[in-house]
Amino acid sequence: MLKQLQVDFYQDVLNPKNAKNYLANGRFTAVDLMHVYHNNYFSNLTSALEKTYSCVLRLVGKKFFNMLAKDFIKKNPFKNRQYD
Amino acid sequence: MVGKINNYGIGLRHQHLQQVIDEKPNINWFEVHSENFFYDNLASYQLEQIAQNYPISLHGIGLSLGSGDVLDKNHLHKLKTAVDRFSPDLISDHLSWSSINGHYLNDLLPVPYTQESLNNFVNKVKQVQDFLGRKILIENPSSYICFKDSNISEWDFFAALPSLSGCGLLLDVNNVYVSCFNHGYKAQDYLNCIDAKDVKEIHLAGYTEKKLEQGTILIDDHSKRVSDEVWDLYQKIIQKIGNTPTLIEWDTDIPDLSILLDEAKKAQAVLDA
Repeated sequence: MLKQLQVDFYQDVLNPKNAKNYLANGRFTAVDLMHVYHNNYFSNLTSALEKTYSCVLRLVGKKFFNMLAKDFIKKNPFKNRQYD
Repeated sequence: MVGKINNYGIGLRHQHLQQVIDEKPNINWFEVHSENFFYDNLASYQLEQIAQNYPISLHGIGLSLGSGDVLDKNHLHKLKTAVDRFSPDLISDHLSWSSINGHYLNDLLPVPYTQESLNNFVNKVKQVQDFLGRKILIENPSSYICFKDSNISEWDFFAALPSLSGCGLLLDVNNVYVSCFNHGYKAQDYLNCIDAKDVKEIHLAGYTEKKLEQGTILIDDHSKRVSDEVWDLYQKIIQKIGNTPTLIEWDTDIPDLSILLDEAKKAQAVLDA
């Protein structure tokens, strides 16, 4: 049960628009709340990519780099426990 | 090891490693993210030098103790190697999970507060402590959601860990404030459950307010100075539990070292009061 919940949660962090019905009712919608985790995930990994590819960032600018990073992260899910 | 962790410290990140070696700032101790020092590289070499002059705390973000997966033995071996190398005074990780079925989310995700989840978490903490041969500290989470299945309060779940696993507690005051604000809990209810003798370390950090259609939510992003509300809560906690090693954390938009040291001195003023 714990594992299935976490599998569902993982999928919803990646695709918060499809958030499943495992959250208690509160002030905010499930979609809004899962977007917090979705944004954290992409923001953390984009920051790591910015540090690794700092020359590319300077060449293309932050807006375009962020778009590239999001596409890259979607196609290459994180497989490492190292933080930064 | 150069001594015991006490009074105030700061979270040490890569951009300040060389400056700390060169300037030897007046600070009692440093805490680093364990996983950033698992490899034999320049950063690890720099931390070895720093550890000769300051007590160190290894603060993990990757054990994923709340996951339904089995514990990652490879990760645990790397942690043990880092412990042997840097001789930390404290070792800690989080009441959270970050990986499932080999997928990693690079975040500290909330666990459901159920008996199954508590048994799983306690079992993992015991495995880590058995492997390392020493006690670890567990940090309370900041959260934005509550699971339908949860039937234990966050503070009861957190406060039960020392008696069930033998661990100590790392009380993050900012996380208490953020979780209480987001879920409408009373911070006092949270703190009343915590046994002072279990708290071996305190964290302080800044949060960001995010406006959503239905109201404001606090995001624990460690991107700012500690808020006035969190300083007030910290004062009350220190009055209750006494002098406890306190760390300033800053992980996003990291400022000059001088600003971190300035925040840490504010913590010392509370400890000295």
